[in-house]
Amino acid sequence: MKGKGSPFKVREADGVVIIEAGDYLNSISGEKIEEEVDCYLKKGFRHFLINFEKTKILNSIGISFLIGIMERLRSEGATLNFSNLSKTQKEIFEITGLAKYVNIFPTEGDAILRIRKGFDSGAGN
Amino acid sequence: MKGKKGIKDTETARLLFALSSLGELIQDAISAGEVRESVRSSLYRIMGAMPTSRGAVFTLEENGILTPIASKGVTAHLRKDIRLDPSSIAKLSKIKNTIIGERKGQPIFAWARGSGLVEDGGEILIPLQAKGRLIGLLIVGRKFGGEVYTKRDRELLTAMAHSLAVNLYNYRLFQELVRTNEELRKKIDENRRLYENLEGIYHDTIKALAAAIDAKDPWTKGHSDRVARISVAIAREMKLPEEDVRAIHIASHLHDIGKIVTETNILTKKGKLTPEEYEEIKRHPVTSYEILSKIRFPYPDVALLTRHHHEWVNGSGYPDGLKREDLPLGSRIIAVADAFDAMISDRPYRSALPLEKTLRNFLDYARRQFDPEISAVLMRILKKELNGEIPSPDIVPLLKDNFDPCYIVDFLDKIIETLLNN
Repeated sequence: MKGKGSPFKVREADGVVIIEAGDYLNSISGEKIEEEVDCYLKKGFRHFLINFEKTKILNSIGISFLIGIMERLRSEGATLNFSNLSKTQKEIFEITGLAKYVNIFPTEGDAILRIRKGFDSGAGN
Repeated sequence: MKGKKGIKDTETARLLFALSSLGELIQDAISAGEVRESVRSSLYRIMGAMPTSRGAVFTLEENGILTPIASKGVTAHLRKDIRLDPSSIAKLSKIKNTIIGERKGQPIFAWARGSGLVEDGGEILIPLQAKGRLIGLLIVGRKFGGEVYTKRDRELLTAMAHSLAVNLYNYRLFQELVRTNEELRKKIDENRRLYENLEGIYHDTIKALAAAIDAKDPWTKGHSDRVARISVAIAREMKLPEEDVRAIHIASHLHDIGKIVTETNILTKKGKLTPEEYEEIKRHPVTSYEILSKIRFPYPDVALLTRHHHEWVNGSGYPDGLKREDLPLGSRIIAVADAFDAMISDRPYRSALPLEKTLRNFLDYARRQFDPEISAVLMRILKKELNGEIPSPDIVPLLKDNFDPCYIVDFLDKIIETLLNN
């Protein structure tokens, strides 16, 4: 968990960095998530999952941060996965063309299972 | 056909998403939030709507420097000030509502390449204009995924850039306001320093003039300066308005200026004065008034305060025989200070009085000669100074008498009580 009042949470499970996005992905939380991703990259993590279950507002500001994170992870050979997207959020990723560059899963459990399979087949870290 | 319809739907959805971003951008421009933060949000909205991972907003300063206000994903070069030469500014200023950069054949793009803006992440450069003037520049990187910017993208970017320009214009107005405020504050400070200097020179001149008057009589050397110190100490203890304190300061320095026309042999006479000599001495407050009333002082009633410094509160003083209620407060303060200094100083006809005797005189003459409340204030200052409550005492250093401070402090308590209660 980040500091007091932080709108998002970060935890690890089975070698995956799970970011629970807050209710609104704005420039403040976006920057903090970018910093967290950087820290975990430096620690050697290569699989990231953003869980949007609690996210009520996702607008162009949030998209701009997600693109920054995608590009950062791509340059490091890391993967980005999304889970628990609402129908509208899924549409936003589709219409902005970002859906092509991330793995989208219905639930966090599905995502972790799939990422674990990747590990087992030798694709993970 | 089905596939084509699908593409068209996605394009419509994307347009709707971009339009929604444009709406939020307009909200940013008209919101009352922090202006720089609002410019930053606007940039992020544009970047998210395109979408692109690189972007920067610059404001163009009067000196031709492009200063970054917000940026994301760009190299260090675009996070620093960039100097534009006048011809580049002129070229950019001529472009109205046009996106440049994506067509590499454009002459302006050749310039942009040379500036390093394109090499460092810019795919599109958009001049930001407000009120017909170039006020900044928006740089947007290539689209995430590498697609080319479509005609619709460029139209949207143009519309978004308009909102961003309004936001940037607000930012510049705000900065100008901050600068103007700062300049105004500096000017006020400078003015205050000048005024203080001027005031210092003015007071020094007054002091020099008072010293010249005092010098006429060796027995009263430094008297005006001491009366001024005591009077100001009383006025400040009474928490009078600063303007009144300054008037009292000047008047107390100049209260004896009328003695300039008094015969020196009368002023320095050791024996008893004849009635005629006493009458001549008594003329000095009116002479002080006549001299000073011709001078325009920056503080009120300076001449009047000097005229009445020998009045008694029971109306038996001179020159006008006014009673307490008709006497200006400043005159009553100077009267107390003048008498106190006269008592603690040597005179041609007597030595300085012991402090206890001086204090007792105030007790005896209060309500006849001296204002009891002002006398009590003087006693209170003395007590505070003797108790070490005042870091830079004004009055105690003037005392030549060897006295027992403990006894005097107790005595002062009794005097203050008597002065205020009777």
